[in-house]
Amino acid sequence: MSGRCLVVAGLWLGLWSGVASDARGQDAQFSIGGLGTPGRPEGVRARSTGGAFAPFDAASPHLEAALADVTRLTASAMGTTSHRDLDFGTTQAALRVSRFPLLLVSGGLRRGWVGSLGFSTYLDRSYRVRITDTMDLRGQPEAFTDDLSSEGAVTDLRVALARRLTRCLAFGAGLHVLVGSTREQVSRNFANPSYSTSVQRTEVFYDGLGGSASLMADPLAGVRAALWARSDSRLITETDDGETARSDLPLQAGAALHWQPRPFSRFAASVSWAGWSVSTSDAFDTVNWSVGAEVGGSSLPLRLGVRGGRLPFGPGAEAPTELGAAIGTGVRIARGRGALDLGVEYLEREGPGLRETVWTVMVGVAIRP
Amino acid sequence: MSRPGRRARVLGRLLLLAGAAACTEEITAPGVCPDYCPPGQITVRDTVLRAVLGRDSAFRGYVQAHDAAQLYATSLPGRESRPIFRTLPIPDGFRFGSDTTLRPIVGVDSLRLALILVRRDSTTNLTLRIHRLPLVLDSTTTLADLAADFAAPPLRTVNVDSLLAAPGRRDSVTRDSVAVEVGGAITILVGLDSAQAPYVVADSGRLAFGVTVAADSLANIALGSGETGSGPRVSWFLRIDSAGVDTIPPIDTVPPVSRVVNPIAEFDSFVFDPPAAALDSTLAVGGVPAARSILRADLPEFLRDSTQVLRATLVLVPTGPLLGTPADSFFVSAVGVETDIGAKSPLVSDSLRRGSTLVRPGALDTLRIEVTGLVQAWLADTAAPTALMLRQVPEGSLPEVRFQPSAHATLAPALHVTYVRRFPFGVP
Repeated sequence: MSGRCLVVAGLWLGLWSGVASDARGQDAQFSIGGLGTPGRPEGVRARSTGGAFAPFDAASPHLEAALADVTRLTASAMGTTSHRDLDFGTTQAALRVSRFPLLLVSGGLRRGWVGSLGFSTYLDRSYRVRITDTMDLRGQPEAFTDDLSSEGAVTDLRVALARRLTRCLAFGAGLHVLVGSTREQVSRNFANPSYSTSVQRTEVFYDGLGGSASLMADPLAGVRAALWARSDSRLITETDDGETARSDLPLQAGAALHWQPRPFSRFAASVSWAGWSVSTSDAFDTVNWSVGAEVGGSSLPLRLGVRGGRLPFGPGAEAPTELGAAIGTGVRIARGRGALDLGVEYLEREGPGLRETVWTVMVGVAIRP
Repeated sequence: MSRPGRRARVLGRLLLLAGAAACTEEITAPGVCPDYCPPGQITVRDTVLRAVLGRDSAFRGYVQAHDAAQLYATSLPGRESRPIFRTLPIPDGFRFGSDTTLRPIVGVDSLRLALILVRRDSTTNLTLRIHRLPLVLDSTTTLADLAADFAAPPLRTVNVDSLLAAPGRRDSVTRDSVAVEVGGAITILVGLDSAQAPYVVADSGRLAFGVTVAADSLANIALGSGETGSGPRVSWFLRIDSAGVDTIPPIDTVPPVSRVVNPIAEFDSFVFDPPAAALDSTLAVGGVPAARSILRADLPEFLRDSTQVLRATLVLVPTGPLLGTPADSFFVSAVGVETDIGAKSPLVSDSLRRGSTLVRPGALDTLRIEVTGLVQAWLADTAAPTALMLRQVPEGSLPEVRFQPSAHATLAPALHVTYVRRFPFGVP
């Protein structure tokens, strides 16, 4: 990566650092009791295919080996707006959030190496819950409303290197620094004005470290296979009073296949496993899969995909399930120096006593200066 | 426009729509606990702190009878109180128009005495008796000093209830009248003739009166005092030697200013019996001269370090019932002090750092005063003196209440506190 390119990369990162605190992915009500909702290291293109193209997409901070084919400095980012409907059976709620879950800068270095720097959401910890109840105080039932909120995420800052070892084999590795904070606030407001409202707030900080490696091979013409693994250490949680929790983080692994039978037809499928059960006593290991396709050239291709799997956190004896579909497209602008990607994703999550549906509109921007 | 251009335009519009949709956020979900609620709970505790209040003392002398906002006229078993007042001097003559000659007062036609009744009990035949008193009234005058004057026949007797029931609320014979003011106060106008209220040149027209009260029951009222601008007032209707011709202004028309004067009372107070009891180890509040009690709190560490106080109530146990009639009810206020220098501790002006509650005669109930704001201020400012003063509102009224002191083994003052413990942030 040349000096000019590094400057551009720095400016890009600086521009987006203002929104880094909002670098959250898709949150879920199921994860309120756990560490958070795992983020998806997927750009808009990959997510529009259900995530199936993510292992092969250099604009997704997923597989480092996918960076091996990057020839120009590229900066990409995405924003999402989600409409989430919760159905608890007797109670419903409609939520709406906007996020900037991803930012990535990649470019070629010397001797065939390609580097990448960026962040994505590792664990989303944003929620606000309102509880109304009654408690006995001084011999009288007193009605109250609690508001418990958390705003923020654990962000995965990744430094990655990749290199094509042979014409058919690429290798990549990444160092993941897990940082971030959440602004948390709890309040209790009594209906009886004799009782003051209690408000407590603090900032919770997170800290962790991880590494990942991946291989990508082209065994046949038009066929590409990928393997990856990732291991993270512990997630250390701290407040102003010091360390409050230390949670093991999962080992993750996965495989994916990409098939391009014709120049304008691409198909992919992937499967991944994450051992989240090490993190908390009531967490689950998860297996997630996705299948997707992209049809068309660089201008307004059609992207489709479906995904399924489980969430690592949720009440009950079984992990909540997740099933989704996505559709999207994109366009190259400024003679290929820029790209805009659009996508819409629909998700259904189900667990004990809760059905959650999510519509997410995604917008991605990529610049190749 | 080329096809790619049209596509880009459509895409741009979609982006604008997406941007507009992204501008709003709503992430509040109903809490379905425990499955879909965050870990950790808001823990509220409620406890009565019995040993935190101590080093209490009572002091007397804050408001004297002549400083009081009300003048008490009471005739109850075991308590007698009578308002007394002396009017201001009036000029010994007047000038008319451009005439620079001082025309002397040559006599009095009549005098009208205005009394404002600011408080009364529900009773019948409420009667006021107006007595002439010597001019030598001051803050040391006692009921015993004036016993002979009050024993003399009154100058006038006015039945307030009869006046209220009379047509136009006016007695056509005596020309006494009453008017009910906004807020319920009653202005009583009592007519006196020149024999009852003579103009004495040597006294510059000063007059002194005393008022006694009688009723079928609950003879217990309060008149306004000069301290609040509603004190006794007299209107002189004077004879002036106007160029050799006496002038008597018609009483029912607007008189020339120079011939009618309305001096306020030069001095007003009330004399009563029995006098206030001496202070002892109990916490005295009220009475005349007014008593206050200071209480000092020693808040426990757990309250200071890791909690928010939601409600704090001062619990006081009276040593006995408040004596008097319903009209004697008053507020006991617990007020924070700016600095703790004992009896002269300046009280805070911040209304958040004070609380009060009504004390009713006859009740022996434990008194509870909300002092949430005061305790919160103590916790927020560790340098603030954790002391509070108990005082009567309005201060300077006759009834007095006493509470058990901190030295009492079982009925000492206590602080009933509802607080929330520190939330366990950062624990998944």
